[in-house]
Amino acid sequence: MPSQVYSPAILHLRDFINSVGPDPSRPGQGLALQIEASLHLPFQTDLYSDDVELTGLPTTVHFFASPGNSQSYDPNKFIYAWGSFLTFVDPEGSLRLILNAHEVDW
Amino acid sequence: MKLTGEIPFPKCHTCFLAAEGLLSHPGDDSDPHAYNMHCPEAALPSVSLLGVVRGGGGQLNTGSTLLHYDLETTVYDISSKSSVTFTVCIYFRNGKRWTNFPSLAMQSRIFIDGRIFGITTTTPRLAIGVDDVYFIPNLASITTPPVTPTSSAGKQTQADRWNTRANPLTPMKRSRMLMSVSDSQGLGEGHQTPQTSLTSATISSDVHVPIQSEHSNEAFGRDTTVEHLTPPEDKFSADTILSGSQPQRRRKFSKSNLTS
Repeated sequence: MPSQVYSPAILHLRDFINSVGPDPSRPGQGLALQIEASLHLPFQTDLYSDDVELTGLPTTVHFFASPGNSQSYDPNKFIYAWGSFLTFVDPEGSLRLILNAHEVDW
Repeated sequence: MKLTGEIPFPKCHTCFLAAEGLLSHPGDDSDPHAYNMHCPEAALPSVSLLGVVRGGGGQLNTGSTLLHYDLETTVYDISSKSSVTFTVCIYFRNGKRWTNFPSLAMQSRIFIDGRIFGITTTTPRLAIGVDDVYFIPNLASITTPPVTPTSSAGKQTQADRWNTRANPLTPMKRSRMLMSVSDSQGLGEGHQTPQTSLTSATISSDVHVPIQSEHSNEAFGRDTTVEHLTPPEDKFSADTILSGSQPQRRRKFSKSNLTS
């Protein structure tokens, strides 16, 4: 167990699947899946700041499918997912979000 | 999710549903049009996050830039099995909700609830609209509180509360033993009973022994602590065992001693 102090960072999302496939970070584990999605951020009238732009947020969801449901995640399917998240900036300079989901429902 | 199927016993109070399938909401995605028609409305992703305030900008109810702070957090990434530190930007809505809210000090640790509503343009970071803020003490300021006399006295009181509690076997009987000894000293020989003689031996050996009385039950009679009543001279000492001599046993007390 790491000795460093970590903070909780929990994200709940509901959105559509763009693509789904095996999780490359867990090779050989059939139930480990990876979903790619672009988070839709609808405009909120009370949340406008001139230094913030509304754009689809590229998101990768890592999760373990329950046995028998690994084939149930298809593109354009609406999902509910929650878990620990983090962000990073890819080499192209775009912000990306990674969600290590505890559960992905549909 | 929603359940579909028949209700086989419609007049029963208990509803049994023989489900033909367990379908997800918004339902079967084989019909894209119907599927999209029943999708929930769009909503901002919600987050809960603990982090350290690193910077800020903007003003509340003034200007086109909302009051905001940079919040740095470190999480454990289970995919890469390493720690990842990243920064988000939390924004406070204009209005009366936050007018009395104090300014966040740098390096302070806070836990926030909010919703992602965009990406900052200056540096690509999550822009989170704050719903609530919880203040967390800094780890550096958390020290072990000194043990004060008051706190130790409180613990002692709590410990004493259990240690001084009446023992189900001995304390009540011990007080009766002490009383019987003092009574025996104040009374004449005629009032001394075998029980008091026994208790005086008990006190001299400082061993808790239940009183042997006519009303004593079997459990008291089987008390193994009676064995400790035997005076030291009645025990086989190492010298007597080595010399091979058998020590003389003291005659046991009996009612005949009293009557004689």
